[in-house]
Amino acid sequence: MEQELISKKELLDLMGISYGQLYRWKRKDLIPEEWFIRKSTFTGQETFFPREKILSRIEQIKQLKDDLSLDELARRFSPDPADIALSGEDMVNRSIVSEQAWRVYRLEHPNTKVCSFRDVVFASVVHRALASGNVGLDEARNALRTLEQSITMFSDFRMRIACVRKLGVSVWVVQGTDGQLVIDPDAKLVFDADVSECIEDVKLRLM
Amino acid sequence: MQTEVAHDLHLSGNGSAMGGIYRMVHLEGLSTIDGDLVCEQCAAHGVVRVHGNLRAETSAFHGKADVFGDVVAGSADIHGSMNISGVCDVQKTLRMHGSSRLQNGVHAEVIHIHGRTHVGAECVAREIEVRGIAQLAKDVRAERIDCNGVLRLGGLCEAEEFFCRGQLHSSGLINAEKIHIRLHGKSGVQEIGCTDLRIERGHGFFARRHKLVVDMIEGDHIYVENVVAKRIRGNRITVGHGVYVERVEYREEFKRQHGARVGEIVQV
Repeated sequence: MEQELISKKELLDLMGISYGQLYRWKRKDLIPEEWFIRKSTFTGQETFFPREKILSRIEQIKQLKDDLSLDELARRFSPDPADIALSGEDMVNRSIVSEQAWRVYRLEHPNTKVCSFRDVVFASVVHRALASGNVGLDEARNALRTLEQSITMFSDFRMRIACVRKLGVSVWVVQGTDGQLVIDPDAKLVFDADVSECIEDVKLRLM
Repeated sequence: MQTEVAHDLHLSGNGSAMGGIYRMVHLEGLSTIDGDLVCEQCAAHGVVRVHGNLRAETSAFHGKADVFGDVVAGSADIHGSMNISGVCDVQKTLRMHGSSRLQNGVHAEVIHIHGRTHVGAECVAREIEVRGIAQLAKDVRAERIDCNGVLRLGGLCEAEEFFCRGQLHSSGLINAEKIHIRLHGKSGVQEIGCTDLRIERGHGFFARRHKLVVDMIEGDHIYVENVVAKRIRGNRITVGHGVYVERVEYREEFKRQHGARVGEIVQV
């Protein structure tokens, strides 16, 4: 997946921040290490960032840094905010899930009223799958089951989920983020999502 | 078993014992412990081998000690040579005098390295003080790093304050709020990122030969002497004596003192 990159120099000019601030935020884990992409250019080694992610992150940091300490900010951005509990309406209101996706979630878990962070992430994956338009309701429900069963394997959410369909039969596949998936040439990759990206998205909407 | 009062263990001469739960452990001479050792206080003199993990409230080692497992301690004093194959986790102060090898990383509140120490994995502490030679092969995280002597860093180094008087070698990024380096010897760093940077040459007859070779320096306020750099980028940059930079990119202010050579100067 090619994403648009922004160089460090351009980023500093665009956002009006200094090297010191950028390095301080990196130290406080406000900017994940993976976003620092090193590439060699004709002027030597340069650092690049995924453009959209870094711009929105720095915008948030700049807005919030006067009210919150850097450590508090880091806690907000950290991958597992443990004390999150959202009801279905909350999630729909914050447009983490659509109503349709929430109904699918309720089919699978009829008694659930409040969702933990993990459940919110899974519901958002279901939402993404439905929103893509390629995945049916039953299939989305199966995705939820697959995710819940596979989470023991990937405790840190670093995984991708994909839906492969051949002759009308669909299968959900969960893999590590660094793994490559090669499928039968006759089969079709119907849907593909990075769970850690869904988490980023959920966190943005939670703020 | 827990209701019993733990006994003391004394070994003198050529002794060996099984691990277990003890109150005080005194080891003198050539001692071998087989299994995990849990105690309140551990004092060892002479040659000690622990084939297992060690957990102690306070521990002191004099002489040569090998622990083939993890060490978890409230505080640890090491005089002489020490080799820990597992993780070393110290709640308060870890003092190492002499030569030590911590092969699987160290966590402590305060780490004092006097002598020579090699850490083979991640090193996390609030404060790291080095008087001698420290080789930290992987990432280092601390609030304050203070080194007099030689510091060799193999990975990323993150600190709020970073002081070094002596030699500094790093094959990764040094990222700190404030960096102050006084050069006594040839040094090399791949990358420096900071808010305040001050690199000065040391004193003495050969001081002018002691250069710091660095690929890239990025910071807000930069003052450098005796630095050979490919690139220096920042807001306010001053290059002093003995500096050779291929390219400087500054925003607000650039000063060049007598005896500095600069290839290209760009204001961005």
